[in-house]
Amino acid sequence: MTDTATNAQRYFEEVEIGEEYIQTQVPSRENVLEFLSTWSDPGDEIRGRFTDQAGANKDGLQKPIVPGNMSASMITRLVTDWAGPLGRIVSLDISFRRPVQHDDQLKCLALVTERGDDLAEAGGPAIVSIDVSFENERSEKPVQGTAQVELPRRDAE
Amino acid sequence: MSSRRKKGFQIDGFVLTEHRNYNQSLNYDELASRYNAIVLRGIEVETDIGHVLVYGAGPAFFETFDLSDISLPYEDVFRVAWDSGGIAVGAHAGRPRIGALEHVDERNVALSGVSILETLNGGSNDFENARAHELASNKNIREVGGSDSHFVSTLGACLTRFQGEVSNISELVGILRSSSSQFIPLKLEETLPGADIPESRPSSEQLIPHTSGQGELGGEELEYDRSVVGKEIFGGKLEVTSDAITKYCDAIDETNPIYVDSDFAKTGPYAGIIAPPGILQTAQVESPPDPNVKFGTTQFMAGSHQEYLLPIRPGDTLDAYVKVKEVYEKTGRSGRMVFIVRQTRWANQFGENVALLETSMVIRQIQ
Repeated sequence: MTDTATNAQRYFEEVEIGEEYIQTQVPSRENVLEFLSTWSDPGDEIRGRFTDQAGANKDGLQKPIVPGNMSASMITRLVTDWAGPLGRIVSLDISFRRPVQHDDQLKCLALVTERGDDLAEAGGPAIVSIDVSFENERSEKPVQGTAQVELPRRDAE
Repeated sequence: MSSRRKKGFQIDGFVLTEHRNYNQSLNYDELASRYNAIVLRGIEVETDIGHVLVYGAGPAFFETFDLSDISLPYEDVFRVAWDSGGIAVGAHAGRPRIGALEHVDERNVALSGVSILETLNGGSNDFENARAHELASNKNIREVGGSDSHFVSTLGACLTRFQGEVSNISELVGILRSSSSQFIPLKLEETLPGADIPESRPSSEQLIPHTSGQGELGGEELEYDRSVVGKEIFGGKLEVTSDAITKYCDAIDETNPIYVDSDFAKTGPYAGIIAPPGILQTAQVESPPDPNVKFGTTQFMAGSHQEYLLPIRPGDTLDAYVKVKEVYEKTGRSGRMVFIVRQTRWANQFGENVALLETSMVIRQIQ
């Protein structure tokens, strides 16, 4: 599903506003089925639009779609991949603006929008704000969001 | 804006147009100063031909309309905006239901008094923008671009280039009202020095149709059980096991060693593996009391707000406390939409809150 995840550690002092982290995710039907198996049974009625064309059509959709909580999980993974093992999500807001369809080629972007220098200098947590989004091959951004992430500091090492 | 400018894109400013909200007490001077940008205030209202952006309207506009109304009469909105010294612009004109196009096509709406349409919108796809441009061309209506940015990272995705000075809302309105002024919609990449601005963009016939034209606008007052809103109940337990963490990590191709590599995790701040925060999104809990909304045929996840307070470890037993936080409605691409926001508060075996998850479900009417 994902092309790369470096798991490199990111440190607060080295983050720059405007810095981008990009990965590609392509959620296939098999990926969706595996994700569904973590929380629902194969017979669940809810599965229809997530797994087959007829179920999707019934809900007015062009193709089967990725469950919202799977998209949310993919976003949380994007954020923790960006942050590295010692980073921590403080909060995350996600907006589902269009359906994510099976096999969509998703360019997953994390963009640094703010660095909480004032708070960090005052002895508070080292918080960075990032925008996160998926962009599909139709130039649509079906999922967008913002995250507040606490990062480790170099000087704390 | 800083990051856009570093890459050579030209963005001088933007208008903040909150949906159905015009708060004059907010001061954008500090924001403008910090980013050396022009920051202006407008509003996006909802009318019977979709969403409409209003700039520079006087008090009469706000006295005339209930901004929370999701089906304001568009002719009145455009007329009163103009008469009170402002200007109204049809937003994202090519989008199903919330743009003007389908109302013109399906109900022969005349677009009386509409002098400007947003035909290059950062939230619309190319097909939707193409058909918006075709509508404007056919009706001899002038065009602008806008980012429709709900997030900082999409600011300036589409924008408008004006010939002449725009440093405040009066100058913006003056240019938009003047029949002799010059302005054109642009995409961000077209602001790069030396970039080509195409004389024409692909037509809707050259593009793959891609919209989700579903549903119909409704007008009746929303019926639901208001007594359940805010009532928190116990929603069940979650035993966090190593197996469950592994299964979740496998399902989303998780490779972060703090979640999957026990040797690495032992040396980290938690002295062992912790659960990825996303695992709570797959936990099944009892639903809070049903507000029993009398509307719609299907529902989808619209949004999620998550706060992570403490690490979750294998062996933890979490209690879920659930409630309906809010029920509200608005109009979207598919017409009328009702949102139910449900909140789950997760507490560990020590009684400490570890996470707060809110899920917003949208209910729609599918024909």
